[in-house]
Amino acid sequence: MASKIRETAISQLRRGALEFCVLALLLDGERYSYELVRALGDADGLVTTEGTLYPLLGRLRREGVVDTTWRESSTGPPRRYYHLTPEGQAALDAFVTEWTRFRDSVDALLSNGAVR
Amino acid sequence: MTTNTLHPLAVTYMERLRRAARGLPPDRRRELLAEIEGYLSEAIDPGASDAQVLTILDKLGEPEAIIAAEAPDADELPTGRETKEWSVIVLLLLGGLSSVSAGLPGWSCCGARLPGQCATNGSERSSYPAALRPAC
Repeated sequence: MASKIRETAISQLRRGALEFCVLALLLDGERYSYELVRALGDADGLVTTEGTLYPLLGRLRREGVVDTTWRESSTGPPRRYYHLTPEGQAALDAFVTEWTRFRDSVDALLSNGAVR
Repeated sequence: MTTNTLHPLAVTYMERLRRAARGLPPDRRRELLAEIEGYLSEAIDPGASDAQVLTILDKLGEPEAIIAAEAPDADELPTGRETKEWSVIVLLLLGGLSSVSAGLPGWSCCGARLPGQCATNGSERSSYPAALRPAC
């Protein structure tokens, strides 16, 4: 029972943070979906099923935090490039503030606790 | 659309994905399939072995899991999908009822009100047909 609760909590944390990780990846400029999937997939412990990033990207587009442009590629099929919208930038800024507070508090409590 | 030939294992995967995606809205289905096929074209090197391709497909995940993630989450904001459904219902009913609505009190407010917003005036709400009352 305890391990099941733990798994759900971590899944929820991943799910909550993941979309802001996508937004953060776009801070330096546009990226196409393959680049986003690879960057997130390669990050340890962040994504278990990489394909579910596509529904997430679709949701971020619908929410208006990212926008996309299809561009022809000389090396293959057209690529869909993602970029941040002003709403996305604002959402990311707000999350960074809250996440930093949350992360620092949790880290402090975990390091003072009995868990070693 | 694609000029590259996909590895046979990836072709099989895309067939499974197409089948699993049958329930999606057509535009979204096309979009999703195009993006994932594009991903596989980039991810799989031309000379990739079966084992390498299987590893990539494993990390991508089961087609059914991807399609399941397309469904709106329980924690997603309800305004998008519900507002669209309410809009459709309201438009259909307004179209059918417009011929009998002349003179009904409060009707002109009903047409202008956004679906999903609660009427603050109790007497206005009571003049709505039940099906058009926003869920508050």
